[in-house]
Amino acid sequence: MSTIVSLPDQATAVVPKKNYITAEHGLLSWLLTADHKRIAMLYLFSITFFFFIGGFFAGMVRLELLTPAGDLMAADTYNKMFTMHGIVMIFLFLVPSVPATLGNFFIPIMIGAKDLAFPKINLLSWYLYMAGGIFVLTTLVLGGVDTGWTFTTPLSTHYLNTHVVTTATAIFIAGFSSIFTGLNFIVTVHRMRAPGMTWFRLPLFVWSNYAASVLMVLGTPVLAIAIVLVALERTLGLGVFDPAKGGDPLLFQHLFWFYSHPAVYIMILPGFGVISEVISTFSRKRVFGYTAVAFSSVAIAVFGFFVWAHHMFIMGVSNYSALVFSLLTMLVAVPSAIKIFNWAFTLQKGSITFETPMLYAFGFIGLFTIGGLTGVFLGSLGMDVHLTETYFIVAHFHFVMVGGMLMAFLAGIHFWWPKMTGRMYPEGMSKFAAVVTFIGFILTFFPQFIVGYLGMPRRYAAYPAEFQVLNVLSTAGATVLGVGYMLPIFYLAWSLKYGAIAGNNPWQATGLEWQIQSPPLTENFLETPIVDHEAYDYEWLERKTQRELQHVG
Amino acid sequence: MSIASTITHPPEPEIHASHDVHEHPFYQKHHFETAEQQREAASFGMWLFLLTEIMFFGGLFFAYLLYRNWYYDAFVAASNSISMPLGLINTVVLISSSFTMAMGVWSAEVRNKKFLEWSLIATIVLGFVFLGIKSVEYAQKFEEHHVPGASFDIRDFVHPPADSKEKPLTVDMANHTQIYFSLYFAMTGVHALHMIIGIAILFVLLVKARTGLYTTGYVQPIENFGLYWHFVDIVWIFLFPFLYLINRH
Amino acid sequence: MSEPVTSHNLAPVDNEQHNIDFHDPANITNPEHVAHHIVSPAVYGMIFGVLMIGTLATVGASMLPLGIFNAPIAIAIACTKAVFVVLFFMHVKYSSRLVKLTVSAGFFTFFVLVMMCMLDYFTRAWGQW
Repeated sequence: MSTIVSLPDQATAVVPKKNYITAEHGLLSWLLTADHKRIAMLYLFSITFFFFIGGFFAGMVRLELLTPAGDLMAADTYNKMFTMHGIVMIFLFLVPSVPATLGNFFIPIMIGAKDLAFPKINLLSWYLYMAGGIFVLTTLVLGGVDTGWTFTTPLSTHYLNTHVVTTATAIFIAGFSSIFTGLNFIVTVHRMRAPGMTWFRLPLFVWSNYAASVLMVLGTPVLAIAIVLVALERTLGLGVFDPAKGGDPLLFQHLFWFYSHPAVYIMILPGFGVISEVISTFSRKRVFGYTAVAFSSVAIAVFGFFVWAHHMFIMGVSNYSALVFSLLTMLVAVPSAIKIFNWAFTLQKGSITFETPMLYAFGFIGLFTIGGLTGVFLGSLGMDVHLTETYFIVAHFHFVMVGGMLMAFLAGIHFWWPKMTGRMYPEGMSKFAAVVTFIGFILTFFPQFIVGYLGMPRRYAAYPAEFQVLNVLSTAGATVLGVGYMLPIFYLAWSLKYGAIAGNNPWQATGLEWQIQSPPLTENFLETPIVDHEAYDYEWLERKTQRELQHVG
Repeated sequence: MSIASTITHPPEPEIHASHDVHEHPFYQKHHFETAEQQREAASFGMWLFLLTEIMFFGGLFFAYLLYRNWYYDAFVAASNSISMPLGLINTVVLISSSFTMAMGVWSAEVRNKKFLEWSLIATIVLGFVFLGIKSVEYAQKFEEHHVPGASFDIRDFVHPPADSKEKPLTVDMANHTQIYFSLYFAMTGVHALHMIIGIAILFVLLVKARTGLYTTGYVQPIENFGLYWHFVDIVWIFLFPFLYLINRH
Repeated sequence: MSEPVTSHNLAPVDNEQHNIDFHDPANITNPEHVAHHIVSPAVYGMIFGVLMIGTLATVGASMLPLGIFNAPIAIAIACTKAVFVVLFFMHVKYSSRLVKLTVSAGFFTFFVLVMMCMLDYFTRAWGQW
């Protein structure tokens, strides 16, 4: 099979002695670092840890659903399982996944800067994230919360005795982590680009993270006030959502979803950015319609603020507003579709090779498209009335978030692993893991579309016996999927010591990050780079490589 | 394509120009090219933070808008039960503190250390006056049993005292005054929390200002804190008419 | 476009190997070259006066029986005061276009929250189709 991987001569190559990892030693040098690359690594370890915690809860849910009766655990406990799964996966994994790891690591390098605008705030972001995570673990230890990750009132304010306030505190703190990361990215991209790096020469990864950052800054505070009000209602008796005092429980949902819908774009947009980079590199072709892809990121961010009530169609919003929100939901699908078309046209007549990141990218395109299309079904009012609160919804969002975002995250990790660590992972193992993940995913979540359409409600521990076969398939798939996610932990860790030396540019990719050593120096660049070429300019790369050969040889 | 990159190390750099020549001011961090870039970035960052504050308070303001429309009579009665003179004094106090803070920014820019210190002190004092009056108001509400919760008492609204101009409310509408008071405490409470944090930061700024740190050209912390303080003032500029002046005729 | 002089540095250098900073008007540190404007105490004093007048005006207006106009007038006075604080105390009048755009984006998003939520509440009483 052809490959574009080009490594230095392994007999003589070594990882550069001076790099951001060896620059300083000791635990404190990591915990008190201002280096965006080290902070990215701190995040990588922490989100991986929380990913497996969230995965444990998913395992519990799927185990319970092996049988129609609610026989593995009490119904309340089951509620806690899916609630904690959602909270951990969304707030502690998906939201920070690409921005806090790959974004933190690469945005400064991609724009030619030495660091983000506010390095200390970057470190603060990580500590806030850890504090939020610790509060979630505290909730877990204290007995969990069972409101569903959506904290719907008045259930969460009046009818439960579980640890809602602790969880609300966790999310509030983690929200600030997200806000500060987004703030940092926005200022950095506006004010710290290297000479010659105009907006339209930026890699699309930067555009996507920028759009997601705008959403983080503008959307997260509304979630914050919503959960503060829930906490105040539980502790002090302030009755803003309390029907007995005249409050409207739906007001909470308006405020909650005003954030939580843009949140799904916060989660997916950075993934879109990764896919743009990967597809371009492994087709050896500039992204088709750069401007359209860049603007579609911004369009998704803007439109994303106008559609939130499609999560509330059956909750009591007026028919007229439901109509408007439904129409707007149809419109918001368009920019995402534009990206898919543009990636497809990038592939057309490209020189395609199938390294691991590309496998994940292909998986993304197929699975995200299915997930996205089912989102359009759900956006239509009539269908939503039938499908909402069933497993159809669960399948929809897992297709976009797991089949989409998580695959994009893995694609990004595999794509940039050589740059971050200086090492290559074993290609055979990684391809195997990618295929296992893909198969496991389809087996887990496709049956859920069917079972949801047939009427199985979500968030129920017990279900009618006729749905059992599909549920068993889904649980079997979840096991396969779990294996697929465990494998990278092993081979990526193995590669740190035994992997092939990567060199500067193993993928022959464009982008400033591939022009510096792997792993990079702490200050990224020895001199401020001057940018005189467009993004994805493979001819420029070819000329540069030729010049280097001439000089060295 | 078999071009093997043989460059695995960057060659020893011959140029250290940007590291050798340290012409930048002492307060410029190394990842910025110029002090102006740092100042612009810091200011922009503070504005983005204020955007998050707009959205945070925005949720509360929307709740207010909704419930004032739904329960206008309850809101009127409840609003008339809080002290308008105290609210007015607090508004004047806070706007004055914005003025003193702006003067502080000016004195940092013209490098007048004494004046900067006095401006910061004046802002702190006015901040404390505001919080003091606020606590008096809160105490009044506690005494009158107008704090939502178990001890809330609707008698004042169902049977207003004979000398007040208030018309009596139905029991239902009187219960809805709890929504007003929930919003009153939530909005002014969150606002007061922001003021407390602001005053704490002001103390830190004052201590550092006394060492002369902010009158060397390093204006940005004072400037950016000023932005925060003015924002807190703007929130109050809206809270005052919305909470105190719904219907005073 | 101009090529870098050395193959392994990304910045142009002169004969003595000094880094010549490339001034690219399309971006870098301060694209709009906003000169730093110091607002005078006199301006601050005038704005303070305007804000005091506005405060008294809003109290006065609340005491007049203006029917449904009481609320819009109160909002209008408060908005005017806020605009003065933003433009002068917070220096937005003298700031870069980026800052002005940022402030507008913030208020715009707040309006989206209000308007789209009101879309639901306003139309609830309209009954079935």
